Order: sequence, then C-alpha cells, then structure tokens
Amino acid sequence: MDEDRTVGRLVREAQGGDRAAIQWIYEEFAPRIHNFLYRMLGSREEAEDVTQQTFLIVIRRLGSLRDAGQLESWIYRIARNEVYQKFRRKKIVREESEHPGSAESPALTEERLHANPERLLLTRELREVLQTTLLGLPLKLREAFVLGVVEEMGYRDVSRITGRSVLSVKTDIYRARMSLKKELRKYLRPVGKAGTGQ
Amino acid sequence: MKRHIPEDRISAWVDRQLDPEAMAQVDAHLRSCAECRSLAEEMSAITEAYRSAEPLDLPPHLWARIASGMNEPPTHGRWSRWLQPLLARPSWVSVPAPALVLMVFIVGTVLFVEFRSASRFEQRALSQIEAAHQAMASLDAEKHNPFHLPAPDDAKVNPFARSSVDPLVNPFSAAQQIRQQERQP
Repeated sequence: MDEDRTVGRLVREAQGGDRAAIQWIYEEFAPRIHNFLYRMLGSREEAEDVTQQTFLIVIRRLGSLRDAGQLESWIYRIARNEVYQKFRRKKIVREESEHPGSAESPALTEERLHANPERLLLTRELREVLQTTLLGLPLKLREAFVLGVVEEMGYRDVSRITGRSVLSVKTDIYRARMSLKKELRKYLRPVGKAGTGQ
Repeated sequence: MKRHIPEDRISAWVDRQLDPEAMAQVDAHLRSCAECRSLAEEMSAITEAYRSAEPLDLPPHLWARIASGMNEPPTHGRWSRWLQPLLARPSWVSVPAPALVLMVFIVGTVLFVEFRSASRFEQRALSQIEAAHQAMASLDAEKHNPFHLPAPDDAKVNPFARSSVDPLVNPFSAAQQIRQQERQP
C-alpha cells in the first residue's frame, strides 16, 4: 500500500514537471523496457533508440495517465506500439554480428558444441542462441512469450498490454514454447549424441 | 486409453496462471503421468533458460539523451503542437474553456444571423403577398395593369387579346366589365 502511495505521489509530481520524479520513473522501468525491446528487435542500437523514443513519449503524455497503478503496463504499451511502428516502417534485419547463430559463425559449430565435456552452460553463446531462436518467432508470439514468460507478467497484464484476450495470450505463449522447443533441440543436445566420428 | 492434460494447459501451469483448482488437478496428473511430466519439464527448462539469460545493460548515456530531448519541441509527426495542451489536460476537461466559449459564440452568431434574416425575409414576403391579396380583393385591377389602359386588342402586347372579352382568361377584361356594370345606373 505504501509503495502504491509512493508511486502515485511520484507520478503526480512527474505530471507536474518535477524532473527528479521523471528520472525516478525512467530508472525504475527503463532496464526492463530496454531488455524487452532488445528481445523484440534483436539489435542493441534499435533497442537503445526505441527505449529513448518510448520514454520521450512517456514524459510528454504523462498528463493523460489517469491511474498511477497502470503506469507499468502503460509504459509497456507505448514501447510495444513503437516496436510495431518500427516493423511497419521498415524491415528489421538481424545484425549477424550480434547473433552468430548462422552456419558461418565459429561460436556454434558442431565441433565446438560437442568439444565441451559438460552440457552447454549459460554462456554468451547460449544467450545468443536463445535470442536467435526468439527472433525466429512471429511478432505476435514473440511479444506474448517475452512479456508472459521472460518478464514474468500475469496473462491478464499481457492481455492489457497487447490488447488481446487472456485466452489468445495463453494460446500464443503455448505456441511460442512449442516452436522454441523444436528450434532449441538443434542446439541443446547432450554430448552423448555427438556428431560423426565420435 | 489414458487421458492427458492439454498441452496449452501444461504451458499455463508452468507459468502458474491457472486457477487454484486447475493447478491442483494438473499437479495430481503430473505425479502419475510420465509423458505429461516430461513435457512440463521441457517447458520449464526453456522458461528457466530464457529467464536466466543475462540481461542487457542499460547504456549510461541514455538518460542524458532523454533529458535533453525533454527540452526540445515534439518532433513526432503525428501530433501538431496545438494538440499537446489538450492531451496534457486532466481527463475531466476534454476541451479548453476558452475554445468552447468561442465555438458556442460562433455557432450562436451564425444561427442568430440566419434566423433574423429568415424572419425578415419572411416578413417582407408576407407583406407583399398581403398587398397583392388586397389589390386583387379590391377588383381595382387598373392599379396592377401595366398598360394603365383598357386591355388592348393587339395580341403582341396583350397576351389575352384573342380572348380579351373572356374574363376567365383576361383578368383586366373582368375588371373592366365590373366597372362598367357599376357605372350603369
């Protein structure tokens, strides 16, 4: 309750133009928004640009926010709309340098994978694999999965942000999981099922 | 044949997004069904992998860019600058009071001018019709005879010349006949 009152007070102060309150809103939500945008766009530069644009819009439209309790989902909605704007304006091409999931990349060759005596740990390579497979999902499934699973939001909150029904959100997350399961099986195999010559 | 839990329900179970009764049902089923349990474990592993992935660091210079952007006028093409104050207002004020008053004044003026003109036009038209009725009622057709003479016989100037004596088509003829009758003792 106290936290709600604090958020409410800070939102009111930010709406009045208090710079410290605006900065608080940024510091509170920008890390998660930035990560959400990176997972959606697949590019650090794009994520940075869209994060900046999102918070500029948040600051300009803060006066129209009626319920401070909806601040988080409201910011996510703005960020999500900016992602869709970006996809509508141009085709986003994954920067191969940030996602070495292609056959040419040395990071994920068959040899390197199976040279490890242990199962592949959560290394930088795995993060890139996860991001690559995530970017392979259709936008609708990707956003449901990122919000509901990665960001650990409830299905109702995801529904509020995306504008789709709870049932649609549940189905989209399920379909995203099954698609990722199928793709990740190619990368996360135990060493016992190594390739040729072993 | 053993019944399994629908896969999308297992997915929602992994996210803890079922109601308590449904959660308990799935818990009980997974204890006894190896196939469903295997799927649930796979889904949980994928979930954990994505949640554990190292988050991207927020660039430290980003706030400075946003703060400097706050001082600039909006460049977003969708909204013109005069709409911004409207959007910034509390929800119970949808339109600024002066703009509302101006709108009411303009609409009121237009309606006032229209009605006033209309009523003046109507009054003029009505008075003319009244005068015409009175003239016709007085049978003093000479006042409205453009020729100020008895109806001429020349058909070029008197469209009723051919039937000039027929009062049904020549109102001037009718008036003359009535006057003649009145003059006769």
